Amino acid sequence: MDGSFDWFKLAQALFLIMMILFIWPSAKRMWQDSPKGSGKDWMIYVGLMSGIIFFILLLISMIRT
Amino acid sequence: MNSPQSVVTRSQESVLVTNKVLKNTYMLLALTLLFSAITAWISMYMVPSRGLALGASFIAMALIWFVLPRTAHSAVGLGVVFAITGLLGYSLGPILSYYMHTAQGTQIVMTALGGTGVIFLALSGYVLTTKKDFSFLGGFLVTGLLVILGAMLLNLFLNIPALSLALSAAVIMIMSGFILYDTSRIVRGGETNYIHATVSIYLSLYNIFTSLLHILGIFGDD
Repeated sequence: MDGSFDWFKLAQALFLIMMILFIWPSAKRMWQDSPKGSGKDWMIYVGLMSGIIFFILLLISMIRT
Repeated sequence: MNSPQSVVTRSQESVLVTNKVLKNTYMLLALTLLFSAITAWISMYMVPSRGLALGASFIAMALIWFVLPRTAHSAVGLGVVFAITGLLGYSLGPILSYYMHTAQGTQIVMTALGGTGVIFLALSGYVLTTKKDFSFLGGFLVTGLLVILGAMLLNLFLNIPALSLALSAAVIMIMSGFILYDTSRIVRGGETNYIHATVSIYLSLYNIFTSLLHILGIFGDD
């Protein structure tokens, strides 16, 4: 493994650690302030995300054919 | 006590403010996406090193964390948004250049671009038509984001391809959730600053595009 690649990896790790540290205060605020969703609310979210998953699978099949 | 007329007037004012924020957000988003595409195109032909591209991302993040909160309520904020999106577009150069040199590269990049557009239009269209409140997603999305960042950090050293693929899929799910959350905040009057709103939605689109590119790149490669 050459040295420059290690430096790049280290810089990427630093970038991710900084992101975690900077997001943390807003995360704490969001955990405290977010209202609780009902079962129906979560079902709508799951439904929409299922649609996204189906769409991505469709894109993958388009790429592979 | 408020008279019925004053309540109606205030409600109309609130709707007008919301529509103005929404209109300004989408207009600025369109302009920043265009500007970002131009810097990405320039970067694709300049082919900067990966270090330089990462440096551009570092500067963009520093602008988001330190400069944007101080300038978002002034005209300077507009310049900062263009600087952020320009730098993030520039940081895409090496990855786009890499894909464009593969056999199916153009198709993969165009599919990822189109796919990101469809996801955005579908999710924001859903919120705009139903006016549904997605504020309940806040805690869940930020937890998901922290878990993903932690796993990405771990995978930098473990180098597990399956984990990398799973993380790209998770990023698309979380960023799609953020599109619902941010659009719902604008529609329901929770976000009144179109500069903040634009940057939030731009970051979601940027992450969906890069993750989709990664997934399609893996599955498209025979």
